[in-house]
Amino acid sequence: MHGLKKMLVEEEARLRTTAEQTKEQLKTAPEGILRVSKCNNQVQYYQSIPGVTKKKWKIYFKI
Amino acid sequence: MLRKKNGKYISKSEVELAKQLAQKTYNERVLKLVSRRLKQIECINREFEDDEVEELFQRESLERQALINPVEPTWKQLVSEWEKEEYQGKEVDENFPEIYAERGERVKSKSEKILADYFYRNQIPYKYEKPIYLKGYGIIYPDFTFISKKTLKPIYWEHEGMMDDPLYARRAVSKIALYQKNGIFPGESLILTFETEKKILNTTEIEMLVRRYIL
Repeated sequence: MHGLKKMLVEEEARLRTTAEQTKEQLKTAPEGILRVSKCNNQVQYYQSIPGVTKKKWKIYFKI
Repeated sequence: MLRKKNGKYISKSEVELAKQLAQKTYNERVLKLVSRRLKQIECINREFEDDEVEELFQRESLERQALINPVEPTWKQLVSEWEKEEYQGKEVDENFPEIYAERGERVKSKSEKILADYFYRNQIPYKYEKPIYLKGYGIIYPDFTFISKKTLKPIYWEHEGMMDDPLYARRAVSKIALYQKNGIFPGESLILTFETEKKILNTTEIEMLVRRYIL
């Protein structure tokens, strides 16, 4: 297909830039992951650090 | 500082931390996807060429080529067929000065000669004032018509050389609008160049446009 090679090369360059930018941002990212909890219409944020925060992946239901 | 089983509570004053953590997860997901796509595209780019099917035919000896019917016409064949198509150009008004392009056809202005000669010298196949039918108007004669190597579709080139003249400029604007109504958009299949007393057409500009849209 005519013009496809050029488009693919451009797309490769775009993806490479995106990968470099995200890698760069991740270097300075804080430890852990964000957990969002919603209780009584109130949003609460938690910093969960794998291996440190216990039971981090369990979901609790209150009836 | 509150500690829950979910992790460390982030207070409102630390909202920046929450933002950074959310961004981090998003970035990780982006990176994962992008890395996967990059590998795939790199793999294709390593060996893919636009004209790879045509290349298979070109690599055959002339003796074999003579016996083979290629699955798709080669670029040379396409251009050759296109060049063979006859057409009746617009008649030149006697009031116009006699200016001839290097290929031999009579053109209407020095700028059109510059353009025609540039295409001729650079072996870019072109047709001068080949008529096309535009809905809502009728027959129109674009200054130059080409076949795009990228899209294999026609590309039109209109040179508007007297943009200082208000009447001429108005007509040029109407003509561009007419092209657009017929699905011929500037920057896609319509190349436009303009001139005023202060802004003269130059070969650098022509070269840039040819590279971008025609070759």
